[in-house]
Amino acid sequence: MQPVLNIKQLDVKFKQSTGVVHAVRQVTLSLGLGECLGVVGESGSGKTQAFMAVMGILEKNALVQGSIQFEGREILGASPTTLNRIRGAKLTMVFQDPMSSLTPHLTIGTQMAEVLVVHQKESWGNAERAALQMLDQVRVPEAARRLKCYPHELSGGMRQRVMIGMSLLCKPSVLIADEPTTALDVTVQAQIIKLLQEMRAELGLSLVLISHDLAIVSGLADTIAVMYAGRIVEQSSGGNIFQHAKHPYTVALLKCTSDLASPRLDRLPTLQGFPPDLTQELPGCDFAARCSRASEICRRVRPELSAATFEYRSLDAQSAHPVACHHPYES
Amino acid sequence: MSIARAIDTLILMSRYLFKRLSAAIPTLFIIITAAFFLIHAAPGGPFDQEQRLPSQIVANLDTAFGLNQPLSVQYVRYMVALAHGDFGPSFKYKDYSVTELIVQGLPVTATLGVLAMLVALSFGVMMGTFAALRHNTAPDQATMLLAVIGIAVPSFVLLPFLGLIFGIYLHWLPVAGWESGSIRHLILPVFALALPPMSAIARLTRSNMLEVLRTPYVRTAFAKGLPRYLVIIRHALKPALVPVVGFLAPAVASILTGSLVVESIAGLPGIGRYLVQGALNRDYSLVLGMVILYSTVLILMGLVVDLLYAWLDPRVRLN
Ligand SMILES: Nc1ncnc2c1ncn2[C@@H]1O[C@H](COP(=O)(O)OP(=O)(O)OP(=O)(O)O)[C@@H](O)[C@H]1O
Ligand SMILES: [Mg+2]
Repeated sequence: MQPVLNIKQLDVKFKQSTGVVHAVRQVTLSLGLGECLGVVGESGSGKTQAFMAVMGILEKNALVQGSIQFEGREILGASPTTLNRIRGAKLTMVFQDPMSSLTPHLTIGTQMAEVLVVHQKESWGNAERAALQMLDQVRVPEAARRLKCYPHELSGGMRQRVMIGMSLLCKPSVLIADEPTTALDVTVQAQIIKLLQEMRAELGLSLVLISHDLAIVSGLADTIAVMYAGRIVEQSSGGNIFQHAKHPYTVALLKCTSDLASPRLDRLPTLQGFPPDLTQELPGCDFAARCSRASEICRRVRPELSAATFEYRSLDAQSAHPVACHHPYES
Repeated sequence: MSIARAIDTLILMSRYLFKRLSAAIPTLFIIITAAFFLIHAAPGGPFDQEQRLPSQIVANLDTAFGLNQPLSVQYVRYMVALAHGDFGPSFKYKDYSVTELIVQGLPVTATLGVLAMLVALSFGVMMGTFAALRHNTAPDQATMLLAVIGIAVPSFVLLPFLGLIFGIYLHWLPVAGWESGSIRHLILPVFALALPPMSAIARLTRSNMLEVLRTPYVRTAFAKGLPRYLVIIRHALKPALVPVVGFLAPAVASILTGSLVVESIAGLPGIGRYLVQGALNRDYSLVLGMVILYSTVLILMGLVVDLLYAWLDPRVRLN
């Protein structure tokens, strides 16, 4: 099956006065039609930047290499005009922080409608009607009134619903949701995840769900990619990850997951130690310094992902669960 | 925008305007009182000249203008007349009342000031936005260099310099004169007056625009596939202008003081000269009239600024 989104050996580097930050390293991922891909990793592991590269909205100091194919067409390095035909319509993204991701001086109605005005050349009147329908669809109560509201008049959860609704207006084939619930409180988190699930089923979306919380991702994702220091260190099918995590980093992450069903701790436990400096290239495994299983070889030789490409629904157990580790846990 | 919301806004705004304007009256009262006693406290009087007049004549003049009365009586008289809209006679321009002098000169100064303000705002915002979009490139640096020069060079240096180039060498524009406000005569003074606030506005706009371009909502706008000009105009410009609005009152003050100099260099029949000459001559009523006029302009400007804030950012409430 032809993947809708195919990322190959993606590298993102940021030029800074202090050096080059190599934020995304050789990331290869693919997303099949209607599939949900979960991307997890601790803060700073490159999740957001990898998909900002897909959207072509990285900061100006970024250098991107590799290949990004959307519906079979290369979009890395495409002109803004070409990209603007795709992003916001067929390929959309919902951001981490709903509080600041909407323009403060424009009404919700204007911000939603303009998507249709720009992409489908709708009149403003028609576009606002479609926006109203969409607000209903993403379960925003009193949608007609909310349409006239400014972002600050809405709660965080409502704003995230608006963001999701806005990203669905042109019936996209891929929606990238970057930590859509991190800034929200627990009960709202569950509602938003449920909404994403429903929308995915209703519209046949392919979904990329980014999170630092494995528990949130595993409920929805068909496949999960675990990122550390810009690299993918483990990939598995969604349900598998809890019982069969192989990478010591994944295992450590699992200890830090929240439990949506039970009352939340004040703060999630965090991983011991610090992620490596992204301006340096280590010869060995990036996680070795924080790893309890690390041996001498880990510091010397970088472990490669055990299967070069990972295919969901593959029968081959080995390629179905690649891991970049010299001493993985055996399931 | 729904009609109900528009009406709400309108009611809110008129209530707000009424409140602010009535609050301005005590402010103005205090300013006038302070100015009155300060100018009278200055040594000398309107009839002291280099060649001293015979003391009997001065005494007669003082009596005629009521200057021999106790200061408190003069103050009450002045305020009562003012309440009736009478700014009093000028002590120096003997055939004119202060009102007549101001009415004659105000159109010139107002034309100059309003044009300078418009030029400063529109060009300043355009230059700043242009520089921000070309951040850290040669055009950006050139624009900012120009802005630094514009801030550093005062109008009384700039205007003669421009006159020299465009008037005397190139013969493109007249160096001075008014000619009932022909555009050719206005260009140099307006530009000389506009340049300092324009440069400040350009720098402000640039730094704010750079900040706004990094906000998550501008990123969202790009992610929505909007062309760049729409992102700038619809999503980034208004928030980038908020701090510029805060600079409007200082900009007006800078143009008002600048016009004192520019009018006298270019020989324009505005009111700028009255403030300086009036103060030097102890022309009490003329100085007070100018103080009242300028204070009113600045107070009104403060009001405009607040309304602009509310227009730029719906989170700002008028109250
Ligand atoms: N413009 C930039 N210049 C330099 N470094 C950058 C820039 N943008 C991002 N980075 C760096 O890239 C790294 C990866 O950032 P990214 O936003 O992808 O992390 P993340 O995995 O999304 O983390 P989080 O969970 O906190 O969102 C970080 O170390 C960050 O500091
Ligand atoms: Mg992120």
